[in-house]
Amino acid sequence: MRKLKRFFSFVYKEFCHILRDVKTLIVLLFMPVILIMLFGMALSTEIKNVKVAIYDPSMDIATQRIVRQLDASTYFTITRMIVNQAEINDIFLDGTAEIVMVFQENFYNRVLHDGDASIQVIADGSNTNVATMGVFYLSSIISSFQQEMAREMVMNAADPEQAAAMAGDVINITSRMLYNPQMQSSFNFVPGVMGMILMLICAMMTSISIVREKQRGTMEVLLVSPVNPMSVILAKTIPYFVLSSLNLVTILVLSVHLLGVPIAGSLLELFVVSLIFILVSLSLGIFISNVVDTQEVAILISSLVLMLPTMMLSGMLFPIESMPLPLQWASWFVPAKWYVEAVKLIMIQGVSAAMCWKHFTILCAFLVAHVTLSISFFKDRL
Amino acid sequence: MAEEIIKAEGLTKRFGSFTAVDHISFTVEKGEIFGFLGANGAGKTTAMKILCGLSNPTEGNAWVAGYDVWRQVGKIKQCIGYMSQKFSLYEDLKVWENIRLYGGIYGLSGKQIAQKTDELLSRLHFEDQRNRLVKTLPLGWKQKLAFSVAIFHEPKIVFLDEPTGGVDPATRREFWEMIYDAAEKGITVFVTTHYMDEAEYCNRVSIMVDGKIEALDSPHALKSGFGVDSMNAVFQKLARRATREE
Amino acid sequence: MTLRFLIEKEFKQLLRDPFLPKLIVMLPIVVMMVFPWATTMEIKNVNVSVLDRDMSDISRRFVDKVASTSYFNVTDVSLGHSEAMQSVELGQTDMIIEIPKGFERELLTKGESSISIEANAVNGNKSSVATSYITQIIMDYASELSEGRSTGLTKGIGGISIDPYYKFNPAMDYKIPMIPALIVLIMTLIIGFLPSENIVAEKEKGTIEQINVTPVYKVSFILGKLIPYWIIGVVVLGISALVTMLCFGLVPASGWASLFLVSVIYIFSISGLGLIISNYSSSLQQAMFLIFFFIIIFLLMSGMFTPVSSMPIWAQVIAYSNPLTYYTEIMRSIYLKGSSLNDVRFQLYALVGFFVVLTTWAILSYRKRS
Repeated sequence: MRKLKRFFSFVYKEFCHILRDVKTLIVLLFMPVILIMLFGMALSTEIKNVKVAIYDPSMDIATQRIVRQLDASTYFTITRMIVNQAEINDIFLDGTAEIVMVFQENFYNRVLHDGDASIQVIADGSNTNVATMGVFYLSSIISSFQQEMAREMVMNAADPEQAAAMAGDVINITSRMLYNPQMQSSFNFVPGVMGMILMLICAMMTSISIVREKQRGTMEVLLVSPVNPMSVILAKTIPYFVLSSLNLVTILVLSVHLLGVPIAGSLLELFVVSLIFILVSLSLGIFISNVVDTQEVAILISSLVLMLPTMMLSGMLFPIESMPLPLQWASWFVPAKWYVEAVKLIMIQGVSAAMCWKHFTILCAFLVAHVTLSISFFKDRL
Repeated sequence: MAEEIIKAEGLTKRFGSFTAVDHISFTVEKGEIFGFLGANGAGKTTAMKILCGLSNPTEGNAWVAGYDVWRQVGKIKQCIGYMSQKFSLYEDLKVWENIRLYGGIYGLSGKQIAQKTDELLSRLHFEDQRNRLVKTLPLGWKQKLAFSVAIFHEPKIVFLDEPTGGVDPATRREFWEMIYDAAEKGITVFVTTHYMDEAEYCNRVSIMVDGKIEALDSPHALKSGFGVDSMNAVFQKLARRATREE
Repeated sequence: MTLRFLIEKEFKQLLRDPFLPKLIVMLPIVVMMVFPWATTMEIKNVNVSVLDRDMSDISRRFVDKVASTSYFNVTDVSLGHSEAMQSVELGQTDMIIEIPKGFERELLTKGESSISIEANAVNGNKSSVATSYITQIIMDYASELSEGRSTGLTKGIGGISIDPYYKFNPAMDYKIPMIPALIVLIMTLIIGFLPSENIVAEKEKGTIEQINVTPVYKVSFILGKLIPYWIIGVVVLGISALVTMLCFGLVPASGWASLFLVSVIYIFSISGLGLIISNYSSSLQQAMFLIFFFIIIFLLMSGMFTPVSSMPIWAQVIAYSNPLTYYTEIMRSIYLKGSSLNDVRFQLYALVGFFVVLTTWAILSYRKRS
């Protein structure tokens, strides 16, 4: 009983430290809010308003119709009509356009009679995603224009049958987007932000605050007291555990009510997996603090060596399956990857926890590994 | 009367509702060793920081070397040296590198610095430690080094904030010898301490209690005034009046 | 004059640090060697379950066509829809392609048929790109089929061929555009983080107090802190550019002089930021959290990963108040397009503006007295 009381007096002390540092506290509590808003509302991998310049020497009904359709679509904005082909180079260099469309002369005639019309599309490959998607949307606008023309031909043709044969085969595509019909980027980002924030707060904050005590010598005072050294460390992590849980709730409330991301699966399971991940991150923070001696190094390790892989290899921004194999293997050692995947499965796809047992097991294994490592390094040093 | 090198008039510093320094007035004469005594938390360090230009007063006026602490901080800093309570030389620099840095900051040329460094190290019998990282020095040596750095540029006044805290008696005596040497060269020494035996070495001492100066005179005069035979007893009598906790 | 001594001191401390010199050298090397492979938005290896209910010649040829691309892995040609859905739930399948019964017959008789696609859209970008790929394949296949059957007398009406050319990156290598962006990332991390850490550490150790009682000018003190990081910035840039050249054979199309010139301007502007934050924070923990917070926002809102033009207007305003946005644009233009400094003058003016504002702010907010 007395032991427990002593333990809680340590926890209380830790809370006091955190509550007194208002600036850090504000950042800790608002960071998730801001990140969720940015990711949910500002960032989108979808392309919009791609700047297009057009070189149109024919200026006939067909080219003008295509240009009008481009301009009307949300994907494109027409920034320049080029008169001289020599301008094309400069347009790319100063960023006036990302795509240049070059029509042939006599375009309409070629479409109608020769059937060998072509459009040259020059895209700025220095932004690959915009270029790929831009060219794709451009082609679909042109092919629907083509179909429209064909339909008109058929309707006007003297010999409908022959015209129909000329129109070629059509395969209609019906596509359905599962789980995320509006294809909002936030569905993908929210689990990633959860992983990032929890990792950041738990690992970084605990490691820094433990190392600070070590550096100031106050740790020594605590350690000579009759308290079990591990419980001193444990007491330091409890406030961060509470803070992270608070952030977890904030993130979930915001995602559901502000961004409209559903919680399709069980809330309980979502919390369980999150709590496991919080523990994994906390134990990682403790491990870092056991192996480094100065706050500066703790900060650099937890920010650069820990955060960069979490951002890059967790599948939040970049699809892991497109990476070369060695990197895919490396991603297995990033706990956030497993957490983010589990959250996607449970929260968005509504899969039951039993189906992502693999993720649970791996996260628990990380936890055990971190704790074991922390304990063994701890005893070595004190 | 000798030249007044420090003069304070009603100097006050408040932190919110707490008055750390409460309308203190005193003067320090040129060439004096002035002891600034008080219990922990009496406001010594705060008062000293105001005089060094590290902190702005809330009220009152003070002049250091004839310059106003409100408006002429830059000028004041030209003529003072300071040694803080907490060791604040760069631990990850070597002995000579610290000396060189501060010499450089006070505008000495590289050649002057090199020459004075040699003198200083030989005077301290520190020649062998020249290339040692400061963090590996024992505390007493660190303090001596910090003092030497504080007076390296030959300031008019040197402020020492509990320079001998945590130092062994033998080193303390050596330290006070250094202080006397400095005073002989005409450097005014303004020193805070809570070792009462050290107070005996000062020309004059002031005793601060709860932010106010309760006594100010030569050690001899204070002892006879209070009818006791040691500074310690003087201090005990005054300190008993304190109500402020640390 | 004093400045020389301050700079000298910073370098001695830096070189004696057990960790920093390693970080300064290793971070650019590791990031430039590894991250271009990781930061690709390219969609590859999409796992597809095909439900071929027609099992005809035409449908089988279609499935082969899908499987032969590098974008798709046809994982199974299962027969049941519910099995396929379960595989989606487990995350083993990203897309289900269903070819209806009678697909071939309808195509041959009516010249029109349909295929349905169901994609796991949790990652909206991935599913839309994958859908666009598959659409492309289906359209190509349709026109291939019509060509195969046409007698040669009639060419398809409105046969407009689109002939795309990807300028500056003809092979559409997704790594290439990320490389200049990653240099921006490294420069920001190192030049943004280190100065702020440095000043706050001096505050915590108390050494700054000893400096504050000296007559050293604010400007010299701040410059004494900044100049070493400016030099480090140039070194880091050099290492990154060298690694890029050796590993990816990429050199700045506008020349080395332009690269270094614009980067020096950027280094000037971003280094002030760390100082401002350190001036406002009292502990390392606090400083790190503030700087981390800003750097994450800056990185994400810079157009480095997602296009600025896709952001809503309010977010675009934020993006254009962010020095990284301009530097990323400049770096991509200089590295890949070979733009002249005149082409990117607008962005350069913006960076100079940031430099003036941030450095002035850093100097003003540094207080020697409390």
